[in-house]
Amino acid sequence: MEKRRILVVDDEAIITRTLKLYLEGTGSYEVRTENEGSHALQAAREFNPDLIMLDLVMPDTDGATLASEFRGDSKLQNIPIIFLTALVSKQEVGAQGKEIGGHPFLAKPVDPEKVVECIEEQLQ
Amino acid sequence: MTTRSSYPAKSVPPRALALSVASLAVPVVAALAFPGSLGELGVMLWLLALVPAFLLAYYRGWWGVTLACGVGMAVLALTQSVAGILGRQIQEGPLFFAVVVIYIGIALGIGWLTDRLSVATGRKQIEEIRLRLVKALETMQLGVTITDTNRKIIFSNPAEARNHGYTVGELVGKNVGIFAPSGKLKPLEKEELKALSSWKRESINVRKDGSTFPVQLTSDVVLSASGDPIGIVTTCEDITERKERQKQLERATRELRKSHGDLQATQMRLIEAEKLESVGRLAAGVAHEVKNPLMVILTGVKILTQHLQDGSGDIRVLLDDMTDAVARADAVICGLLDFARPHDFELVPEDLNTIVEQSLSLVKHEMDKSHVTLAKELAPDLPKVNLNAFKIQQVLINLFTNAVHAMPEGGELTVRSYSRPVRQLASNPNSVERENLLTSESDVILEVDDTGTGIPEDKLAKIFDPFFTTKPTGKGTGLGLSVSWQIVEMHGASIEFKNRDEGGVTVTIIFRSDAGE
Ligand SMILES: Nc1ncnc2c1ncn2[C@@H]1O[C@H](COP(=O)(O)OP(=O)(O)OP(=O)(O)O)[C@@H](O)[C@H]1O
Ligand SMILES: [Mg+2]
Repeated sequence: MEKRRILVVDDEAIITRTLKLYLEGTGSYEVRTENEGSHALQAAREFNPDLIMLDLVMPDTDGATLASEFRGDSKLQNIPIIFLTALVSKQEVGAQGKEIGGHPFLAKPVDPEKVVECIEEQLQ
Repeated sequence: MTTRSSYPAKSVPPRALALSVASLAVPVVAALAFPGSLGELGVMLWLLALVPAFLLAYYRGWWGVTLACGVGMAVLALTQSVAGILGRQIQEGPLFFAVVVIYIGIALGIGWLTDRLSVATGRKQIEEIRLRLVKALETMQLGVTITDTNRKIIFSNPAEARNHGYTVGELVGKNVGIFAPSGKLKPLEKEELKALSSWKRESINVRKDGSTFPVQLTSDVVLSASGDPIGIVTTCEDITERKERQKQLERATRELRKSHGDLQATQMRLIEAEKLESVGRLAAGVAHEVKNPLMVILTGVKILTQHLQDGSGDIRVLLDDMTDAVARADAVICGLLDFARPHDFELVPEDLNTIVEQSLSLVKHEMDKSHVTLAKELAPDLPKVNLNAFKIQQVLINLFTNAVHAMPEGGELTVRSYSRPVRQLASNPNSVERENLLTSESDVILEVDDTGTGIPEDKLAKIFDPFFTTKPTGKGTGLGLSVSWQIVEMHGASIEFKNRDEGGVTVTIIFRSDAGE
């Protein structure tokens, strides 16, 4: 089975590095990481991912803005997005239906097994 | 102060005094005008007897005798002077003594008459004084009653009779206990009477029709000239109005105190809310810095777990502990984050029962695990309440979880909801009758009972403090109730914990609802 391509965008290199390690460790994914929010669109066009994981709050931009940029791009508009955030409590995520702008929403620190679950759900 | 009856005739009648002094002057003048004529021993003796008698009588206040002596001296001196002028000696022989006896007789006669006269004048004066005093007593608005030592009424003034619904005539001769709720009063012992001086007290008196009213009584004993008690004077003031004013004042003071207390409580709550909010802001500031590292650790732990060889059991335990440690640190940060008051905190009319059901479904697993049974007493047709469903759900989940934790051996959780109309007291401070005004609002009340351990009374005041917990490390952060308190506060609602007599705790949350919605 062909590996699914995942783009992980987060300003923290330690996050993208560990997630890449974990996801690639499962053997099912090929992961590209990006730490500059402003480069995310460019990276997505080059990498042509099956799914994008976006940090919601980054120093130069925010996940919601990036998501709308992807939506505006004819090549990228149908790629599923998963948000990651460090700013809300788990309970809040729970009650708001796990979605922001129609995209699922994971609160850090999240068990990477949950991340995989979520990715699989989105890829179906 | 003891009152002694004084006798008005004791004062010196000035005319008698003047007359006596004047008569003394006559022999002096005569002696000066006709030296030698008073030299005889007999006359001197008479004068010597009369002068001390005059002085004594004057000193004792016997005005008739004073006058008699004065006149006696004057006449004696006059006759001596006349005799001297005529050059005759009359002090010898029986004629002289006869003359002296006549003189004295006349003098005593005059004295006696004068005394009678002054007694009559005294009586008239006394009568006038009595009339004036009686008039004064009758005119005054203060009730006055005078009794004898057996407490039989000798005198009551019209004010006293009026205040008690009697006529003066009905009172005189009765026992003064006619005014007292206890009825007839016993006569006082002599010693008690003497001790009774300016005896002031408040009491309740009875009117003729049986109604009662508060009075201020002041009694004093009347002592005779010899110091024996001969009666009791009591003034009686109707203090109904004063009492009423006093009550109003007390009520106003009480209300003032209460609103002052409320104000202080509100202030405390504001300070508390402010404190919690700044904790929240701080947490929001550091959350990013804490949660990213936690995420890295958690992911790292999972990766390491996957690479673990079989048989490295200790390492597996270590990695599990690390996972738990991450979860704990995250729980604290999440709890603190909850204090950050979202400024777009939105309240919408919601059905409280629905939120209760949702919250219960989220803790159902936990309840089943601990063998806790559920009793629901949710009132149908509950008025809608303006609230934030998500926040209230957070509160309820915490309450239910706390209850389950308090019942580790199982028990029963009761969730009850009901509403009641709000009654407000009319806030007119002048109206004695406080009316209950029905407003359009109602209270919507949620009660959560458990049959658990209860909360020691000394801990009750602390449960809302951030980080107060009795649970083992890792099981509770102690933030649950302080967050809940803040949320309830933001809804303008109240939350209260009470230990139940039968064991366990009742939590009561009271929401205010506009009936219109
Ligand atoms: N229903 C209850 N019965 C007995 N004790 C209670 C009950 N509810 C709360 N408490 C006491 O109040 C303390 C504070 O409760 P709170 O919910 O604030 O924190 P916690 O439950 O200990 O931790 P957290 O909710 O943050 O996980 C609890 O540790 C417990 O001692
Ligand atoms: Mg709790």
